[in-house]
Amino acid sequence: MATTGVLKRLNQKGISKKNFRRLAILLLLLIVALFIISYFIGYNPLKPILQPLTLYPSPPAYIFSIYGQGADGQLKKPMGVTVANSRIYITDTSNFRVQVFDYNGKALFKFGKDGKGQGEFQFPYGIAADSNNQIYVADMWANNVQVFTPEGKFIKYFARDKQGKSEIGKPTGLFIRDGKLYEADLESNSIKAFDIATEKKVQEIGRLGKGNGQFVAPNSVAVTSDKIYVGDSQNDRIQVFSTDGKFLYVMDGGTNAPNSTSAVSNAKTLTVRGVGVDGRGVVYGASLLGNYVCGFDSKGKYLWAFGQQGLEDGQFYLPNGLCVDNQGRIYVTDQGNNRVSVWEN
Amino acid sequence: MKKLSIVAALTLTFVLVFAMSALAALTPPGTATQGGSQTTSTTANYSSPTGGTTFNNDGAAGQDLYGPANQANTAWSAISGFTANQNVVGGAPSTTGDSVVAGYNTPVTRIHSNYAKNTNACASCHATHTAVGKDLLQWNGETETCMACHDGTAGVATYDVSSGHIGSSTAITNGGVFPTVNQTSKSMHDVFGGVDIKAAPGGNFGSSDPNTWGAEFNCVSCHNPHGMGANFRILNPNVNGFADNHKAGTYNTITKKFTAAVAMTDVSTKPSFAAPATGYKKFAYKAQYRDVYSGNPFYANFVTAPYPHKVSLFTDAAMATALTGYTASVENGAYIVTVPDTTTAVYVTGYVALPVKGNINGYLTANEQVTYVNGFNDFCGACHVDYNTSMYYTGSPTSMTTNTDGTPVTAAQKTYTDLDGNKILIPRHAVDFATGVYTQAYRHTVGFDAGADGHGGLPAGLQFEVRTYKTTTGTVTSNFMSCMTCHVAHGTDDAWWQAYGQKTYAGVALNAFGALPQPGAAAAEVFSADNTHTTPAGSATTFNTRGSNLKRVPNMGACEACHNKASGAMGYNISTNNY
Repeated sequence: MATTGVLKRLNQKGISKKNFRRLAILLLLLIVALFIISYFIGYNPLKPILQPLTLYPSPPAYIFSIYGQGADGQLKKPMGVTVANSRIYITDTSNFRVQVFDYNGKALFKFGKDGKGQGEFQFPYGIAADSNNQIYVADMWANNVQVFTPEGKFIKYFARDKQGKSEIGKPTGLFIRDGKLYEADLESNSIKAFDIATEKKVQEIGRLGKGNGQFVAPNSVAVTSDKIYVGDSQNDRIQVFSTDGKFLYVMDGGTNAPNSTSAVSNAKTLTVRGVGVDGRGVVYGASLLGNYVCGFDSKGKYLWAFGQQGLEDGQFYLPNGLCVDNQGRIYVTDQGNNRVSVWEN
Repeated sequence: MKKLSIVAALTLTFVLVFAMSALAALTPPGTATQGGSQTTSTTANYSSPTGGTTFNNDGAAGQDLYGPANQANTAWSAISGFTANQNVVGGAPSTTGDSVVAGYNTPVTRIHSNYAKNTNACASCHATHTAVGKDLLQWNGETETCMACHDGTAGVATYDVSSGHIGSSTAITNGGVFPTVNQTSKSMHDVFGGVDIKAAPGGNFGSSDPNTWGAEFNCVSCHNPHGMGANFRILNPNVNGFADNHKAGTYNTITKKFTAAVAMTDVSTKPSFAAPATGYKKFAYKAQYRDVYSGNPFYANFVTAPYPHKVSLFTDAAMATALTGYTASVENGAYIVTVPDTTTAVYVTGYVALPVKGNINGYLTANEQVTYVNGFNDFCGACHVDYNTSMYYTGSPTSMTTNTDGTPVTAAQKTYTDLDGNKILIPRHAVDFATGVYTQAYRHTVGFDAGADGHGGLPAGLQFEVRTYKTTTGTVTSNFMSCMTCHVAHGTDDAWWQAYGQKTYAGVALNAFGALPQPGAAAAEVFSADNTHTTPAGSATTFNTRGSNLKRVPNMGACEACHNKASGAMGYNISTNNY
């Protein structure tokens, strides 16, 4: 038998039966350890391999919704969402706070209250986490970005000099990648990028207008290794830039002509708010007034939309913030239904 | 045994390799995605947002955010008395029958500004097959829907009524704010709270009243998102069912649809309207009411929704022959029918809209200036019936002897006309026209002529309705007291007042609390930069803790803006009357 032959050859090389058994036990322990680790970090190692690679990515499926928990826990007009270290952070805007949930949607804690001081909010909107899981919260009315520990303790105002001045105008959506915080700014109608370490502005894209590379009320930004996606909300389109800020193309899924005098638009990206990109390269955009989330492939071609107006599971009423995590989950803040719905590829 | 060990060992090895390869590709789980491929790129260069056009919505070519479509439409730049949702597009009339179903598909009434550009937006309020309310409306989410954009997230594109700022500027909205942030003092028309319209102070409704008293109050109670009626700020032309249900016979002559048809007036040569194209005539309905001394045309618009508020047009008073081959439009707030000039008469039935007019200069800019023109007292009075003391008598002016303020009607008054030569009418009380149970009390009159700026010691800058009319001696522009003189429509909070107080009201050096500057007086309460307020040591707060009743300035500051009781004035600064 072949295996007997293998064993004989091993014996010939000086690997005894005893040693082989030790090796086997060691391997077994290693595997057990790996799976224990996988269990504790909540990740199924087999999943990415089981996931089929399709030429036509399918829309995600609804999993569950987060409404908040306990007395005084109900979300009220949630605007933004992000995920860090298996925790879901939601800006509970009309309650002037951030609520934190575990990966299954169980409430953990909340922080922040109505006010203008440290750790207080007027209109908490965009939210993002850096590589140390510190949480950045944009306050659109208070014109600042505050940084918190993962447990919600105030650390500092981001990018504010000694005089209290800041390049941050009227922040909406936030996104962090490669040591940079990207901020969508309503005041300047541009996307600003800040170096997280130095807190200095290192990049700015766009200005007010309807042309290519211009924005009216950008509400979100998402960055991949080679592209920057901007939810150009009042122009009803997603604009795509290279990471060095060059305009590439527009994604709207229809005929949308912001410069036109009379054209009627059928853009799918009607009042697009949150944008995000998943591991398949699918770009998502939440249509606030369309009450759906539309998907585009990595080349900008419109794929489909999921969700419709309603209050049932899997429906939206004024979807706004959007976040995609590395498990293929899509989180959508449903501000009219006061919840965050979670979808999965 | 040996075989088993070997098989087990090999299996484990394969599984290990398998698992390792899977885990090797992982980044920490439960993290917001970085998306796409994982190659790194540098960002040495970036575009700089300098230069280029400044957008300012001032109507100048190439500078308006919303482009030529709105520049062509004077409604948008709001320079000439048109409003943001009032349209003046004409166009050649159809020659092949009813190209336009009047009142339903009027092509010139813009639906909520640029909103109609993408019809997917309709679905934010309506559902074709699954609606839960009448008119295919979704559930009661009007306020949430409005606030989804009017909370500041639409940036420069619209008003942020949630924090009370124009666009993304720091300029405050003229209509006030719907405060959400906790503040020491705030008040608002509570669009969030689920109160009924019948809760309106001064709105003494009767149980049989046909109005919408029982309906819940929200944004749509006052604003019509479709821009129906071409009113200022898309104000509802049928607020609280007013156009349907006002008392018959006196307010206007059309009270029941299809029970009467009235002749429209040929306005082809009237200065208030653009001349029609050669070979065509324009007709408008001259309603038997309008604001006294308004200077505006008497011509009316119609309520066209909810169904069946259809406007119907005929060629005869008997309503035997329907008018064909016309184009309907809205011009200067009036419903206009354009027909070939061979047409001799046009008759109309429908529900006459409640008109509200104002001018907006510098629309949606930090320098926006709003001038009210007319209709506000009627509009507010649709719910706050008792407080509207400015409705108008529609009989012959000659039958009137006194104005609402008790002064005699003069011979000159009886000759006043609007700019088109229509005789203007004398004000009377709401009791004659409005539904609801009218209760009598002494109330501050609205709708009277307060004279030109500075007249009778009035300071400039008060928020009057500014109207132009003709007298025997010429054209007069004058100020008329309205609800808006003392109140804002939306609400107030500390921050809004602070900003308003810094501007001062009507040139009176009111501090933020409406206290008067007294020589040698202790420093009054002030707001600090962070909107907290402080009181002088030892003094009781003068802050109105019971809510501010949507007053333009705190406490009784609005009274003081006219009736300045400061020392030296002896309380008689207004010379025309002893107040």
